[in-house]
Amino acid sequence: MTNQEIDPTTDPHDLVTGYLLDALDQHELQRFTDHLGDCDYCQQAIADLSETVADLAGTSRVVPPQSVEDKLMASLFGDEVPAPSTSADTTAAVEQGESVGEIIQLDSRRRWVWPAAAAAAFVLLAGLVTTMGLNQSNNEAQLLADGQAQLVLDLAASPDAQSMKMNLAEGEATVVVSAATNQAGVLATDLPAPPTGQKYHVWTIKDDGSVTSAGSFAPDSDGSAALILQTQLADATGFAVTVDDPSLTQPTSAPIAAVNF
Amino acid sequence: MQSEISTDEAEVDPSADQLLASCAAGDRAAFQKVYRMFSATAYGLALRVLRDEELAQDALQEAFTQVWTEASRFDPVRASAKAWIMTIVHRRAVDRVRREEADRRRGQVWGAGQIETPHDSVAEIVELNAEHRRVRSALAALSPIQRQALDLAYTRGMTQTQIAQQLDIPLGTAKTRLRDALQRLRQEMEVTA
Repeated sequence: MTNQEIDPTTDPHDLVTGYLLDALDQHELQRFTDHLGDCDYCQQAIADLSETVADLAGTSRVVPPQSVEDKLMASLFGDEVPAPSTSADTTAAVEQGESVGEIIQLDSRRRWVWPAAAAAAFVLLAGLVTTMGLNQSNNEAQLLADGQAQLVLDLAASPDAQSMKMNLAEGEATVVVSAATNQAGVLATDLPAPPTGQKYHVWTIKDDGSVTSAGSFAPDSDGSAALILQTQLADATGFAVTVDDPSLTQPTSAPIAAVNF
Repeated sequence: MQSEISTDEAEVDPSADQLLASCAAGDRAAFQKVYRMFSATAYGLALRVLRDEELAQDALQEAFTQVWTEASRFDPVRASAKAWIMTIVHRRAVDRVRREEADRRRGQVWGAGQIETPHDSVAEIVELNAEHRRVRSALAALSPIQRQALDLAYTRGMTQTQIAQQLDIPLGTAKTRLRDALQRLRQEMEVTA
């Protein structure tokens, strides 16, 4: 697409930033790579700045669908997928199990019959699953005034942590699950305040279809919230969120969001 | 360079280095571990550049295929595992976005003013992520025109020449702006590290 004449007099040294940012066209790239091998200055500049460029990459973590890993491994290694290198079977169960982002299949045996209107709330993350940050500096950790937020971020840093984004009409919520530590948490931002007397209530959906309360939370003035869930992951198949009275032991309203794993 | 990396990351990187060395020796389980360690950051990056899940997943698969086949070229002295992998991912994503852009534009004339002014997406992606907040505050220290240039290059996958055309500035100015932006970003990241 370039209609630029290649100017051979241009100093190749000033292509180094463009090289780092992948902002060279093919001719410039060729010219720079020809030059780079002999140029200590440019090699040093790349060494000095490549971590800064990598920092730009780290601003958005989105867990890809399991199918990408499956396809990748199959294309490289054929059908022989390597055993997970972590030993915990539970890790494997989560990582190799049902892909997140599926529409929850309602089983007729389930005791909690979701209102039809809630069905849309189940259409979750078409593969978009976000994990929270893993590398907080100590300064940043201090900024996390809410101890729950730190706990959830710590949980997200577990090697086997899986994070699932919940679709909400307003705001964002991410559920973090670590099978190895049998813990789950939720982090939310930009949530609207619930009506007086009500909170965001998280429910564990079990494999037998029953539902138990996993805790409730109210967002702060910024709409942020974090909560370590009171739940056993072993027989859990997903989580749902309602807005209701935090003292309820069974939900009375349709979920505003749900996630299945 | 290692001294400039946050403590948490420095703890992560030696094992990532070792895993890449194992990949070079043909260790498939090590490769799977590397994939799981970096795929979320890689996919997030590919999505930002490509803005399409299917394309981003293709780029992700291509990039990690390259990580596996070229693991022996990783040199921990020259770059962290993360930087090395993200360089590959970014290049794959940019190659793809340029192909898509060329397809989309076929029959059109490229020129300044024909493309709507992009929003500042590098700075706008919001996540409750301490590392990200550090990058965000560093980005906030850049001038708006520096951020814009960085965004057009890194997130939009434009070449320096395209950026100059888009912004209607001389190529030399575009290069200087990008260079200054990256230098400034590095300084800011060091201050907050």
